Amino acid sequence: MAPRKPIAVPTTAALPHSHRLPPSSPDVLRTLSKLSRPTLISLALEWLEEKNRDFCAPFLADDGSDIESRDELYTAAHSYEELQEIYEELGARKGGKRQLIDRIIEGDWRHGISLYQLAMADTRYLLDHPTSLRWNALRLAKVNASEGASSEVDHLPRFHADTYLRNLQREVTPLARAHYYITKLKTMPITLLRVQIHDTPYNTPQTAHQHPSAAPSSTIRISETTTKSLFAAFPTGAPFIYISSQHPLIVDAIPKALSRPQCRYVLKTTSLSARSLDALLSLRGPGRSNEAAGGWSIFAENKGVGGGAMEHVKRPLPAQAKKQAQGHQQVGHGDGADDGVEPAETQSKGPKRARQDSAISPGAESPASKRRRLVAEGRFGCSGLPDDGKGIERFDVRIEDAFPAVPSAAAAIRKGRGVTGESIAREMSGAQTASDNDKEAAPADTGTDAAEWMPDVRFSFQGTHVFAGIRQLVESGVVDGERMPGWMTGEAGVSVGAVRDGRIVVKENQGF
Amino acid sequence: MHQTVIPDSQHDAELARIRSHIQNLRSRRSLLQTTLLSSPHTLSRLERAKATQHPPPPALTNALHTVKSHHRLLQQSSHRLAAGATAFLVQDPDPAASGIDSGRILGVRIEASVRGRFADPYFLLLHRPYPTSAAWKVHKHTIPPCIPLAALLAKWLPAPVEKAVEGREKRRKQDLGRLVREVRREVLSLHLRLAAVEAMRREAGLAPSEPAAAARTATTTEEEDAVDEEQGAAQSRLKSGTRGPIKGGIRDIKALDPGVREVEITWADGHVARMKAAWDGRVEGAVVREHGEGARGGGTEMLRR
Repeated sequence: MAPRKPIAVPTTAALPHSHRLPPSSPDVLRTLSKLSRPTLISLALEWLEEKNRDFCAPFLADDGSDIESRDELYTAAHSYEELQEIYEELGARKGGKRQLIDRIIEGDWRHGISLYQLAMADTRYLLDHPTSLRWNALRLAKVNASEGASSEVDHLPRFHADTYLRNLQREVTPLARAHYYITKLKTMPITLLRVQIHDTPYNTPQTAHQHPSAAPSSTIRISETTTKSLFAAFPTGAPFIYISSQHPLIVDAIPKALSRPQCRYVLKTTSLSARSLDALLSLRGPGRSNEAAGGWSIFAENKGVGGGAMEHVKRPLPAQAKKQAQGHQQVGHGDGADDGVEPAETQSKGPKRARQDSAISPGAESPASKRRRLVAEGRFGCSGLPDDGKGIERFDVRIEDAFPAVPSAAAAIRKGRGVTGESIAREMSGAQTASDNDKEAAPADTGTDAAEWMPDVRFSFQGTHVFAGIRQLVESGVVDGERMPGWMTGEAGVSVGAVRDGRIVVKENQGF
Repeated sequence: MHQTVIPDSQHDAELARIRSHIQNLRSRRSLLQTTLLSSPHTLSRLERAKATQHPPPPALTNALHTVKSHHRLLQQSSHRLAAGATAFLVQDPDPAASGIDSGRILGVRIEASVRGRFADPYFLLLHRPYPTSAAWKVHKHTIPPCIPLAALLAKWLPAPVEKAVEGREKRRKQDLGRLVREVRREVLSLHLRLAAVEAMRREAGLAPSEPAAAARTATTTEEEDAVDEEQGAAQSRLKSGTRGPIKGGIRDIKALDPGVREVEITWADGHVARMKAAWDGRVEGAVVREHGEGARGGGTEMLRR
């Protein structure tokens, strides 16, 4: 490529798709070497497709330049078709990834890899490794929309990729030079936006401080050093956005670009972050399952309460297990639970269950383990299955309820206040629950008033699929499935939350 | 061993034959079972038998139980067929819910039937969490975000105003029935729009779009007889992979969003039209572009109806 003369003309345009980075740029190497060999080959073939040729042109030999390229390692091809054949042949053959990358950056695209190509490669990596990024789900909320007036028409932000991109560029360009790539995913109802921020004319010490890796060492106008790229995913037909990193420049601009006169949007947190886009689509997506997570998923998947209206055969219902489990549980307590003490008032069941649990036999499913399985099915419904791909990797909870009284303290209370036997029993059973939790809980506070004692208890569950793990714990009897609080089933659909009165506090005006 | 004698292909064919046979027998069994269970005579006979035998054998009790539960299901189905929305009671399994109305949850099942076919029902699950009033609040629901539930809730199911501020604000009453009617109206109009796109596809000679096709094949495996003639033809066309004659040079018709508010028609010659559909299916406006996406200007014309 013949680079343009570095004339410093201020422009508000985004970096053009066809702008090429030199093959030696660390960005190019880093991006390409992340990909696997088959992906590289199909990517190269995609670059050579007719619709992409404007932005991904390979280095083709003119008829006159043959002699010059003789002594080069890779002879330049003469036509797109020739190159396509070469890469198809390479795909059929075995070989190393390294050679292929060398061929791409030193041979067929020796004049540079365009920003468009780089964006395609980066997106490919994301699709190949769907869990490589951690996404934050944000809600697009209207500003100043009074509750009643929130219109029934156009309640969802209208999203048109082209227009949106132009607005976004208008917002960001004064602050940073960036390259934008927007694409619609075929496998998911998501429009993916990739913004790559390059160093800008406004290379102030502050920005240099923000990106220490981007030290000004290049002579080329577009920095050769590592740049920062971020992804934003727009699920179709849902007022949510998933953002891969909290880069303030872009995150501020995203809602602004969507706003119109008389209709301004802001981003609000939804307390959910996950690596799997499938999990986000199921909890903050366009479908039915947003507000029916955990055990309620039977309604979203239509497995509960009868099948279709025209069906005459009863399907096996997970809901039956739920009701059954519930029926047993309801035996225990009366209606005096208005003070919302922690879970579990099934004091009458405690010892019996303990005996059942001890009789675990390996191999054939014992009645006890079958029962546990059914209880887990009732509590989790069709969610929390290890292979559903909707895993949340981290689930943090802060307990804001008073600590359930321990037995010794209960005696003190009885002396002091003379409460009835019934509530003591409840406190005793509450203490059992507490001892289960003690392993993880670290009371930070040492208050003396047992009734008001509210230690700072935080739980952090981590793993590949937290709720599948909890479900397995229920099935194996480690966690009591009937007394387990509801937030442990993931029914709140958040990955960070505070528990008050035994439930995760839901922010009001969530807008559903 | 047999494997060495019989070639693999023959083996596979035999296996496939047996599998399909099993499948046929299963569906026949299920059909017979349903017929037997649904017959009113079965119930009366069993009850007569129970009256004569003391004590009734366990098999009889079981049979009676099965028949009764089946009749309950039938009754429920006929209610669902007749009414667009039906209510049921659910017990919240969360132990912490016992403080909220003993964990009782009112479920509302909203049905939408378009062109003689029922969509998966939508659910509203309500509870009464307010300590001072018996007002309802949506606990969970399965209404997709393309339906403006928040606005409808604000209108028909507002949170109760606390006593202290009651005087200042105008007290709004909750109207659950109205809310359900409005939600159902939205749901139904969504499905009508979906059906309209499918009808357009059929008229243009296109195969049913993927989700619709998937739903259709899913239902046909269960109820083979219910497929009417026209859809049967479309089905066979879909299965055999051959499409009918494509009319008007239309290559694709699809909804751009789950709420079917925007529909895109692509012609083979590169024209792309986008239509904006109103709530009731009216076309509010349309734009036709001469070239595919990306090209702007040139032959852009506006159609307004």
